[in-house]
Amino acid sequence: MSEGGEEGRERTGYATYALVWLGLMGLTWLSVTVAGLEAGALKIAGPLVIAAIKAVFVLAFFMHLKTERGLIRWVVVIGLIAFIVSGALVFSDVAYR
Amino acid sequence: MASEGAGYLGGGGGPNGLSSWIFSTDHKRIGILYLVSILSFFVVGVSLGFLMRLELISHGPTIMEASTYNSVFTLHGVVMLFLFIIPATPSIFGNFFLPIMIGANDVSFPKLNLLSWWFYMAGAALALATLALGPADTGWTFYAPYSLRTGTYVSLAVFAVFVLGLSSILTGINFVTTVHRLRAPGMGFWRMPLFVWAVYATAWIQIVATPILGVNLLLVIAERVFGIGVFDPAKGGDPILYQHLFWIYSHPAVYIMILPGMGIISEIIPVFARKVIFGYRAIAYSSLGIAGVGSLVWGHHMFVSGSSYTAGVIFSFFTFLVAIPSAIKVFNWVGTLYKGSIWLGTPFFFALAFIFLFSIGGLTGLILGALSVNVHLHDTYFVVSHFHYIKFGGAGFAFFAGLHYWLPKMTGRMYNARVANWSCLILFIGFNTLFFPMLLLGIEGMPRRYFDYLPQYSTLQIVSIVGSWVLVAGLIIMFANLLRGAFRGARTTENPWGGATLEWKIPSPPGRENFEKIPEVTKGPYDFRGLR
Repeated sequence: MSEGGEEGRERTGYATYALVWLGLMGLTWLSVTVAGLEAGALKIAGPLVIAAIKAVFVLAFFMHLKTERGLIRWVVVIGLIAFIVSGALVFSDVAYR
Repeated sequence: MASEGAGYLGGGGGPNGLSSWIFSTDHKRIGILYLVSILSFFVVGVSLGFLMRLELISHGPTIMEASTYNSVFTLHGVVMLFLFIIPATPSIFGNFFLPIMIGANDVSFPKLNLLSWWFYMAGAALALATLALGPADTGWTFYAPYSLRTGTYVSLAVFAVFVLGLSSILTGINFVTTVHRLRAPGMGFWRMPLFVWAVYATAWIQIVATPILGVNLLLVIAERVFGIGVFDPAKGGDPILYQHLFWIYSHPAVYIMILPGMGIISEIIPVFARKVIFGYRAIAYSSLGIAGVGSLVWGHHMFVSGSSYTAGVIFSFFTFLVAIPSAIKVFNWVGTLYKGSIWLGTPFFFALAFIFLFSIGGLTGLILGALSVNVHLHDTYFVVSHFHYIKFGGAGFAFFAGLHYWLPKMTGRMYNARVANWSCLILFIGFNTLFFPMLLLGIEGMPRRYFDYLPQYSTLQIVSIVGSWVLVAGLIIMFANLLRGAFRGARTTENPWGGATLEWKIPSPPGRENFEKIPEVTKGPYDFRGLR
């Protein structure tokens, strides 16, 4: 938590934010490059994996989950479970159609 | 005991101008803002529904053309769902009573709360703007690919719903945080009133499911404006994916409507039965169960859309499963009434009407949840009747029950009980006369959303139309009585019903601060010892 005077929590410096941002830009470039390759299924799986890594960076640093505790982390877990279950149910249609 | 002046309502030298209301961060005033705005839109929705029914009084065009009929039922759906029944109970009663019931002086984020109302008004303005510009003709579901191709103002209507969704998410975040952070000393989770439990479970659905609708709607706009091919099969898209993303939110939205209503009923039943509620923990858990399992049943809207048989079986199973927590609630309410010292007050009559109508809605839902039967009944009047029994007979009547239960607390004045009882009876008769024939029409094959019908359906259509007149008469009587009561009714006491939850321990209407000193909670919410 970087504001609000929360005690015992590490502040994230601007340099870290800038570094993460640069990392995200690099991953975006990689994503576009992989999508342009003649690589079959990798063309889809690659950008999806890269997007997942980018999401982790955004959650950890820009949304401060790296330093958050308790309920806030549970909110993310609930969201993640909802995403996985919803995705699985959609695929129960798409995969067997 | 009434509060000095008119409490939070102003007067006694306190600020009471328009700006003191529309920029207020007091949760009670925001609750009243929602009350006034939501009921105004309810009038619009009822008028559109009334006109739709009237159009069908004779064959061929009666009072409107077919294209107008399409626009009217679309706007009726959008207004009734997104402007009335989804926000009604959480935004009005949740805002007003949730903080009080847990012993807090406000919600966790009062400014965000006000912003939610402003987003709600902005969304409403956009939705109603389509009325002037040329309403969408897609139905409230905006199904692709038609919604991508029609020339009507679909993008604007869709964006309106997006903004309304934003409002709903912010309200959900506020309520979850408030319940976790602002409970009074001694107010453990298992001492929370069941209305709070219900609103809490609802808030989680608002947070988790609404963003999916938001993304879906933005994709519709992107497809219409930029021509990307996500849903349009002509561009390689998948229209069934639209239905998945739409119903992932929109089925849980049914529980956003009904769960808080069930919370209201769980408050009223023990108070009027003068008994501790039967199965408190089972009701609380069933709220979470409905929120959880109810999020896994959306595919039953798509049994005939071309989705896979495997998916159909899975979604049918979950649909039957979600009936269990709903049935637990009904069983426990009836169990509470058993051997109770029942007091026949108006809120209680509405609660009984709710149980009856919701049960019909729930049981017809099970019929629709069966794969084979659904093929016959899909997109017929049976579906229309089923969801009106849930949304109006269930959530709507629970909301009316809440109005009759809590309005004396909100305004400090009591309505005429005799007129209120009559209005409940007229509404009950009107509702069933309007919607029960639709079940029969559906079984006989009358498709929904049709501007005209075969002569064999005439008798039941006419009965249903007469029902709409009775229902509207009941609504007029009920609201006239409540309005008169709110402004000119006799002053009421602090605790007119003998309730045991915290809102009945503060003045009617409450003061600007809910509690001069945050209370210490020492007993459960339905412990009536020492009360009336």
